[in-house]
Amino acid sequence: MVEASASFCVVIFNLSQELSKYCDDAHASMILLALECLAPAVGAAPPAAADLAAYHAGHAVGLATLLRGTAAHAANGRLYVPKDVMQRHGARVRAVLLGPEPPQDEALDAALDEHELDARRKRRKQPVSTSERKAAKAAVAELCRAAQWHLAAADAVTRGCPPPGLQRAINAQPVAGWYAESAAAASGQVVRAPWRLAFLPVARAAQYFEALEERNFNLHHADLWPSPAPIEQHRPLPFQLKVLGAAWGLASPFTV
Amino acid sequence: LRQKDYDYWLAGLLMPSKARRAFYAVRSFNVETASIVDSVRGNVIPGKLRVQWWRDVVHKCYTDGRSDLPQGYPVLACLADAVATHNLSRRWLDKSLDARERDLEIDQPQSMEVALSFCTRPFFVPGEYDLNYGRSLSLVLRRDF
Repeated sequence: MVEASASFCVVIFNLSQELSKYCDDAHASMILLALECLAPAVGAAPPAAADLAAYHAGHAVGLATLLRGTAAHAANGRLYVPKDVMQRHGARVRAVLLGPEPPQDEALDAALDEHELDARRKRRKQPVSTSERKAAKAAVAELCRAAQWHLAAADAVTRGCPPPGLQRAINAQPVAGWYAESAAAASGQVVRAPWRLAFLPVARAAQYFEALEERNFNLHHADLWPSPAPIEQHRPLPFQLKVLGAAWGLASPFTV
Repeated sequence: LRQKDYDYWLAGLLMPSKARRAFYAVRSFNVETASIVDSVRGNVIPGKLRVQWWRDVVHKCYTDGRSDLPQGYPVLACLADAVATHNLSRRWLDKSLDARERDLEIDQPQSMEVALSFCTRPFFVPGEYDLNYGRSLSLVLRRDF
């Protein structure tokens, strides 16, 4: 029984805090390591502002990775939209996961009798209603806005300004204590050219969220769902130009 | 790395050559550990063992046991070099492994919950697993749409 159901179990981060911790641990750590990789070439330790920008950029990259992979994760029975965000918007798992049709589970079908199977087939055919879709989009929109705020914050921090709406952010973040300290340490520091190289791939997240907003937060839009396909096929030229521009200091990797 | 993580491969090309090797090692480490979570279907034990293997070898990279490192893992060899030459912080590598492990663990209570609801509700339909507990709250917050 557990074997059959394991394939469609839904994994949800119970709290946004958990999601934030995941982004910090899995993605911000990688950017911090990239900064350390650059350190011998520069001949100095990374500035405090770069560390703080890595924290924000890690959130944007983490959210982009999780949302972009929604379809691939769904095949594994996972969904990374936090539970509290879904509840706040009345969004249902079905509406977020579904593009075209509900997931099928043949092992489970075989275990059910005719009557139940009929009932399930009927429900599978039911389209997701407009209001369900709206709720799902609202939940995605909330994550998208959060990521865009993190991008704006990373951009501001690398320019030596405080993140926009700092006080509000401190109220909302579980890490308020250390965050306030590092923000104070980072204020006024500008992250210069060699360190910026560690942030180049963040441009992909910025492009992703811009595109997601343009497509009305529809995760399953064909332009936004290349997760089984290799990423370099996804709008390669704008990204390459952006990365080059950011490397030469002509553009910010955190904006589109 | 070019196939699995194109964006970072491209960024690495623009880095000074001193940094590039270490950067690629770190990114390859990330690709390897991220693929553990993606490759797990249902049973998380093999995934946990692989995370633990990485934990052990990272520990060996930082202690003097570098000669005991298992042979035949190019990513690991590059990572050990990067750790030695670039003084990478062990904390970030460990945190990243923690995140992967939590990602694996999070599977279990949920699958139990779903398994239980499957046992007790005859008409349970996968994909209709309803999380709509907070409808009254959501009505207030939906005005943007």
